Amino acid sequence: MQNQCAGVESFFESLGFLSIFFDISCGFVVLFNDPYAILFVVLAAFVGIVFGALPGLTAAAAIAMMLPILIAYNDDIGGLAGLAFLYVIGKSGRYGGSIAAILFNTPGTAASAATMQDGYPMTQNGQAGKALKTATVASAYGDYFGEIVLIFGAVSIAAFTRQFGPPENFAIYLMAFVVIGSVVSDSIIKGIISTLFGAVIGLIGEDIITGQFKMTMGIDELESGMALVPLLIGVFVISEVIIQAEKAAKVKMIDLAADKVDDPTAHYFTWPEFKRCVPLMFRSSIYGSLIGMMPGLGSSVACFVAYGEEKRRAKNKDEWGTGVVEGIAAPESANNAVSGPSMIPLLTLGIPGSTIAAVLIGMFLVNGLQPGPSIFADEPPLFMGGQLISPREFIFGIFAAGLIGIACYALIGYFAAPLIGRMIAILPTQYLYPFIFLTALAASYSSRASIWDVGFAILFGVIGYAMRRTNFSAAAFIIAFVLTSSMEEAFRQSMIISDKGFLVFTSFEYQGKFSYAPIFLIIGAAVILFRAWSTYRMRKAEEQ
Amino acid sequence: MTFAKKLATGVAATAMLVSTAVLAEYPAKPVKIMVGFSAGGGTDTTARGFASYIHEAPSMNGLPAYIVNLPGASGQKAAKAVLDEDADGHTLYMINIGTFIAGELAKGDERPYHIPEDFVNLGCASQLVTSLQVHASNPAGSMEEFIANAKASGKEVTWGTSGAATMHATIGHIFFDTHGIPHKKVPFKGGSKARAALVSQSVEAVFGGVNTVVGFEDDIRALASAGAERDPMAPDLQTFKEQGTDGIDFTGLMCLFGKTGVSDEVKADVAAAIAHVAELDGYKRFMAGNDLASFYTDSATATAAQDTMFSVMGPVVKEIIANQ
Repeated sequence: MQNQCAGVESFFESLGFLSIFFDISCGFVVLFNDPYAILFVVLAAFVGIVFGALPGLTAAAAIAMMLPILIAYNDDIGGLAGLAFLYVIGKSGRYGGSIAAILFNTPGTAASAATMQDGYPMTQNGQAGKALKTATVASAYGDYFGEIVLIFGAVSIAAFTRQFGPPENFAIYLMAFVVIGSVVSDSIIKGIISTLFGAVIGLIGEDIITGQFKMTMGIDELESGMALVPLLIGVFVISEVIIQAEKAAKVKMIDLAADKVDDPTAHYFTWPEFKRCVPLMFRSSIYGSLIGMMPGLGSSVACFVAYGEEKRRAKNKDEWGTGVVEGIAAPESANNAVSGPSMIPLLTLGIPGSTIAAVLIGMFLVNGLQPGPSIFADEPPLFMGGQLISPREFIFGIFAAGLIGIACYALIGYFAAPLIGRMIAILPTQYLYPFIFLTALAASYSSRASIWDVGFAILFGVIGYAMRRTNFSAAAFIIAFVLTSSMEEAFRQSMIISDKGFLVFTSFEYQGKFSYAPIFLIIGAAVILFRAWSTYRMRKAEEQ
Repeated sequence: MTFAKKLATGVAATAMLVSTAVLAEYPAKPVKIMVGFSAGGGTDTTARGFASYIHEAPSMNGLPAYIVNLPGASGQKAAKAVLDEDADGHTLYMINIGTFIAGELAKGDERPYHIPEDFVNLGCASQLVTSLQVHASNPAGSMEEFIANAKASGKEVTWGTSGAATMHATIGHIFFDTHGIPHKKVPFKGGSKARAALVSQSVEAVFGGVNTVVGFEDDIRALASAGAERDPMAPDLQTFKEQGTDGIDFTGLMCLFGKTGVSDEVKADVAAAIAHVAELDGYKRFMAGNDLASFYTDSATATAAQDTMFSVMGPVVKEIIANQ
């Protein structure tokens, strides 16, 4: 196999350095050897910011619409370009949401809902520039922090999870279901119903053990299961178009003219402010990274945890909510710190930690890579973008793309966020959302050239709209849908392997080896008990 | 012009058009190769490699081929789509015969087609070879030792494979039943998941493609390979037959199929194209880069192999389905 990293390998070998530094250097070599990948990273930084800043639309919506195109042109642009594009959109989309939160008092994404609380008051005070630059710096800080956690964490965790077999995998899936169902929504019941609904849809298709078809209703298109793309497009794009059609209103933006404010620093995130925010951004990035590693929690939880915790610690807590930079720096660094670590469950266990990670599974499979601990293998080689590279080099190429992508969206955001905000404010929504609707239908069709998929996208658009209106969790629904077939597979395999029936999940031993399955079941049970207990305490406090 | 003259002129013109169409050399347009699996797998990789070079074959008039992925139902969705097209050779189907036959057999009486009746094998450009794999820590250094240890233990051997009734699964059943070893099969969704189960020692053995061992030599070891001869990609690995186990001398030849009814010209031109591409250095390098072998198997030999596989795999798959 042609070695893409011969130069850097000899350099690091001479230093006797940690192999991880070699890997990431190699990732940069792979990335910069692929011009399409570089181009798509820059493009993703811009597209993600715009989608994130459009009120209601999210990075997941952008990814859902781009996925069929990227799959169709995968051979032409190379797998690294496609995956890097989706990965960076996830990052820049999270950041883009802060623009809408700060300028329009509407969170562009759920991840930036906490940013509104101090961001919009700053805009009203004539400090929109300062607010946007604070959000940019904090997002990039948090994202780099999360990326470092991912790079160092994923490889070492993957080395450990290689020992896991079907019983452990089933226990992890069950734990993920419980965590997602109980934490992702305001109500445990609604969260669990959303999760179960996703699971039922995920069960449609061919039975892995018997090869027979389940719940296909005689529709050929369902024999290989419900496709992810129409489901995503329905839940994240079409449902949003329906909501926007109901509103039928343009976003309103306050005039950002500089001469309205006397303070010369109103448009800058100053050095003293930055120094003041560094410890807070560090702590918030830790919250974000830890939350990101838990499947299903995601950025929206991280931003509120960081905002709440930092407000509690702040000496000036009375000023929070009136427009302080700390109130932007905390949630923005936390929500972007989620991005990298949310890939850890995907890369080490094959479990998507977020909706974006769920979409990435499809793109990995298209390129012949099965997400899971063996994804960091050195062989067999992959032929991508004219290069012959190992799976490990490929994954580190994506990590390198993430690091470059953060710098790209930070630069674009730092200098052009107000301009992007102005552009969005003047967009004629009566054309924009119908255009998005038609593009979404075309994307649904193009994923499998199936008119059924268009119907499914519309159906799940209506279902997604109903879920959002009634506070059921779309994220829990999608993640459960993606996890279900693997969970069922692990369950059925465990039952074949087991000599003691269901006890294989509670026993610390099977096939003569140690089993970690009971540990994951205990964690899942502890999470649901803790959640039930905290809900009970909150209700009691409200009654008093 | 009278009506009779108009009619005569029309008939003559139509006759000329028809005769021109009949005489048109195959192919008259780019050839569509249907693949029943997602992009990136072994079948897709072979098809794309093959399609990249087919225009270099003199018999293809310089025209290219393109790939259409239509995944679903273990490749049967794409196969059915080929049957919906005209039998003019401009829509072909690529799949390895093991998966193709196992898929049909697994459907029993509800099979959507019968391969020998509905498809014509036009020739093959690669193959998928099944192997017996064990964990690196397994004390067995050969197939014979593995059999001896399994019998001595008196326990059921738990083994994994890439699907319920695939070619690999069938070979696994034949192997254990031939040697009278009690066993239970754990099907996984794809070869890489079966391999992960072996790496984690959740199963004692795996029947999977020889190529799935590449990159995991520190974790797993192949003890024997299927086929009448050793796999060119693993020349040091002895076959089952060499080690005394008969009945597993077939491999999953990766072949191009046309709809029954394609003309002799199409059969000859596609066969010539496959033979030509299989010998090209570029195609060989591409396949080797993906740990796949490049070699030509003609239509007659491949069709005979199909018949053998139907007779060997048929009763085994029937038993698998009956026991589910």
